[in-house]
Amino acid sequence: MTGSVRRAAMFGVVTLVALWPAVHLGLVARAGTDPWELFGWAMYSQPAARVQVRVDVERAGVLEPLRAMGGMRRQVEAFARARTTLGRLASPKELLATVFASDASIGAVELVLRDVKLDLESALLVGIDERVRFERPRTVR
Amino acid sequence: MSAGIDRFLAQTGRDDDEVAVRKLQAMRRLVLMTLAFEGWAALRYVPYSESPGFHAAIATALGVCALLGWRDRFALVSVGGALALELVTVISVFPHNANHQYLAIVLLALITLSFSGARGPRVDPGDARAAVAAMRWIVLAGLAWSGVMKLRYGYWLGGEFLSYQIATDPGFARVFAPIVPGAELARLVALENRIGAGPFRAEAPLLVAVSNLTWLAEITLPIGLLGLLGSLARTIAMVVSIALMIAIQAGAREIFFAGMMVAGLLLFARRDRVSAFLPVVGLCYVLWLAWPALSRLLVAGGAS
Repeated sequence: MTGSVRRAAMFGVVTLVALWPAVHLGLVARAGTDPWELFGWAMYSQPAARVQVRVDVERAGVLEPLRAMGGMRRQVEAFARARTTLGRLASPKELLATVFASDASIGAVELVLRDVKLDLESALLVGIDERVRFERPRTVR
Repeated sequence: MSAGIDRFLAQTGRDDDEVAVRKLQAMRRLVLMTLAFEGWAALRYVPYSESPGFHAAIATALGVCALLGWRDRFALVSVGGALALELVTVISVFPHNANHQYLAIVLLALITLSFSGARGPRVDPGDARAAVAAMRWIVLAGLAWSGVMKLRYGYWLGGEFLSYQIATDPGFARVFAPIVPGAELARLVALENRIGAGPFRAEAPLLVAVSNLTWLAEITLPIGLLGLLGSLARTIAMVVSIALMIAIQAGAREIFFAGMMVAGLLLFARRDRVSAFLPVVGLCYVLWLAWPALSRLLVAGGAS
């Protein structure tokens, strides 16, 4: 690699690092990613993100909270961590597969995602809930 | 195009050949040392603690890179090795990475690019100059973006963020105790970290002023660092930026990030100041790593 190519590569690295936060702003706004994460220079710009996850399951048309234990509990916690960091980019696929596989009578799963935020207007901590429903896929028995 | 790139990179300052090579050598040692210590410190936290054997092996290998990389003779192989190890670390725990890991990867990439290969382990002064200038740009961009982000999200305008941190982080409460009136401090630390708690609003004018001065300083200091206001202003901007970084880290305690950022800011000095910073930052890292054991000893000593 010649000197000019190496310096052009250095310039490329600087440009990438300097422009990435603009993309990061978009990711936070559109996908709900955590401003503290992913090298956007936004650590300490707002209280650290926190998403709590509850899993509701539907059996014979009745929706009730799932009591996750052991490995499934750890999967719920792992998904909560991923959701906190990656927002809507976090995939619940593995968690859903485990939940559906755990009980054949579960017809649907609803993830209740509570985003705990500091509301700027009231300066109070608030929880913003989002419910996402997943029907049992045909391939999972 | 090559001349244009050189001119752009040199906007942050132009080092003499010898100074540039020494600054780059010091940055190499600092980044490698940071990663060696950080690798062990990370084992305390999830997800690193979930596979301790794997991450301890990486930390050990990073330690070997830091030791070898101290000598110019092994610089290229140790920097390349550390870069590969850090990439493996980031990929293995993604997205739960610390931002200083990304910063270290960027710095290591710039150091790697400064090796021509044709000169063996030696670095061409022109390439060293370009790499050091690129590092200065990274620091400038980071500082400016940090201020822009605080302004954009709005939690620093009324002191809401600092109020929340004082309420929920004893480290921040200790740091801000001297400038927050006793009654307000007591109100904030009594607030719980649960839905409905608050208001996390700053009432002390000094706290609101500090909050706003922080993002203002982060946005304006890069102008001074660029040298647009003369060399004296540049030195003052460097000193103030370092003081600001240390003040923020007194509460935030992101020691590995702070170590690399302060070193990056020292690159704005005319001479190599990073070399003199190495023992200081090394001692801080040792204390940080030993702190859990030290604090247990202190508590045990106090109890007996």
